[in-house]
Amino acid sequence: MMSAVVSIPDRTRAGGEQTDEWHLVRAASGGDSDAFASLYTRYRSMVHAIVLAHVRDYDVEDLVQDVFISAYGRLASLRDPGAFGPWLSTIARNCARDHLRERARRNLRLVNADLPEVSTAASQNERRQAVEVLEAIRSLPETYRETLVLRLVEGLTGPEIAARSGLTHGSVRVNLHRGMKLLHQEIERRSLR
Amino acid sequence: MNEDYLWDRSGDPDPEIARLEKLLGPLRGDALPLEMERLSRESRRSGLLVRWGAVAAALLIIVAGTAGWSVSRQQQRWELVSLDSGTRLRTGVERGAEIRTDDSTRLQLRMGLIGEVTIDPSTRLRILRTALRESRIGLDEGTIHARILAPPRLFFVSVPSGEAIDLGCAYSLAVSAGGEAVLRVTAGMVALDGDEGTVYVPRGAEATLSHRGVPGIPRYQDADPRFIEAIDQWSGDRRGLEDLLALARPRDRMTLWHLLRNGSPDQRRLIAERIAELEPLPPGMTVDRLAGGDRETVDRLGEDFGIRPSSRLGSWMRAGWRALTSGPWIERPLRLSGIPRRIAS
Repeated sequence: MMSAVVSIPDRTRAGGEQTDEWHLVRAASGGDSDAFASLYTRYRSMVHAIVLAHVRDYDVEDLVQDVFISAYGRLASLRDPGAFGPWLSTIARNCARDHLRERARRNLRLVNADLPEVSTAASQNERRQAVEVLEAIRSLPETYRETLVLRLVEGLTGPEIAARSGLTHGSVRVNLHRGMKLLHQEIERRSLR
Repeated sequence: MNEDYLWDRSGDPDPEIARLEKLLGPLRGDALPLEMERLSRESRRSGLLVRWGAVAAALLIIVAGTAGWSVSRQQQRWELVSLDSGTRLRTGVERGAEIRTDDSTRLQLRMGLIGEVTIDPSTRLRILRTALRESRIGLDEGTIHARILAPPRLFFVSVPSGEAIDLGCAYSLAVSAGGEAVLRVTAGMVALDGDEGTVYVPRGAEATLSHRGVPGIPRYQDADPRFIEAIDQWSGDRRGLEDLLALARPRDRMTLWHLLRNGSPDQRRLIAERIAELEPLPPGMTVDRLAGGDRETVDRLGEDFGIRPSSRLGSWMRAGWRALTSGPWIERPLRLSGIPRRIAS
């Protein structure tokens, strides 16, 4: 007898109850800006990581704001409130790619002095090293790039990454494992140790 | 690497991961508050734009239909079909889904414009990404047969120690319980990328990927069994290499090309000379340049076998695919021009 098991990640609690986040998204799509501000607090790190994984300049913070503003304007088109995290990820990636295309179109060049600012009083050398490692991460396939930035820059754990991105724990684990291996190789290749 | 620490910071800190966290943490930036004033403006603006967007979307669909191209959400949706009964088991298969077949069930994963994957019995796989710009599944164990319609480097299969990168083709991929992968290509070309290197497998050839991420040397399935045995047993010695080279046919130059890429200078000399013996080298190419390991020359030889690690045509195809399939009628109905956007190189 045929048997195939197909399991889809369940974004609601057992018994069909909707999560707290589901209600926040529904409220925000009805115009509740406070509800949306709560979603911003919850997802800011994820969006920041995705944008940082793509964009090579210091406009990251502006782009993060752009992503959320754009998402707010399009909430009505989100059919499944439980899919807010993955839906927002797509918007963030598209926003980052659009930004890069726009920069290329305007032929804007990044000057060496335009390194991203860091919020602590890190030395110039440490900051430069951080940016070089970030460049190494950006050279990796997109799937690993974003997961690594979420883990190493934003400080999210594997379960937190899974919860926000909609990926299964298994997928995040594989992304982290393979991503770190590739990153080590890239760091060695670039002599960044 | 301390996997527990990497996963959720449990256990003893891994020194390298902790070093990277300390180095990269400052790039987190300041958590600025949401710009509420912009939010209010957006709220007023979006009502008007939805109306204009609907009109513009309708116009674009007319243009696209006239041009003979239509990418509907239906075409994008992935679905799972039983090959035994022909019934559709699930539509809208999304990222995060896991599929497991028992020892007698065959399914087909239909991926819209991307292509289709037949899933053999006793197979476990995961859906990792379903975007038209990059689609990826993870094969944990079992066998799949893929027929891909999308341009090169848009469909990927992750296996325990690497990935198969579609370069425009049809192939079978099997993963054992121990994590070893075996790839057999029936049309086009597939790149098999492991932690320890990448190989290119053309139509009629096969290659393995060990559980440690070491790719085996691709060989044609119709090669002389003694040649195959010689490759598998070669331990890097000169005598073994000479025996192996003596058994190669002209068609086996593809296999020798892979040996050439990774050989020592002495080995490359022997291999290059044999390649030139089996068939004349392309104009302008010499044994000395091949033996010297000149990357451009080696890559150009690969083109003789259809191996183009970074093909310009492939880049153009991907650019065209993305321009046509990431249009506003799929994702963003508010940005419309009816003309494919320029794609940055």
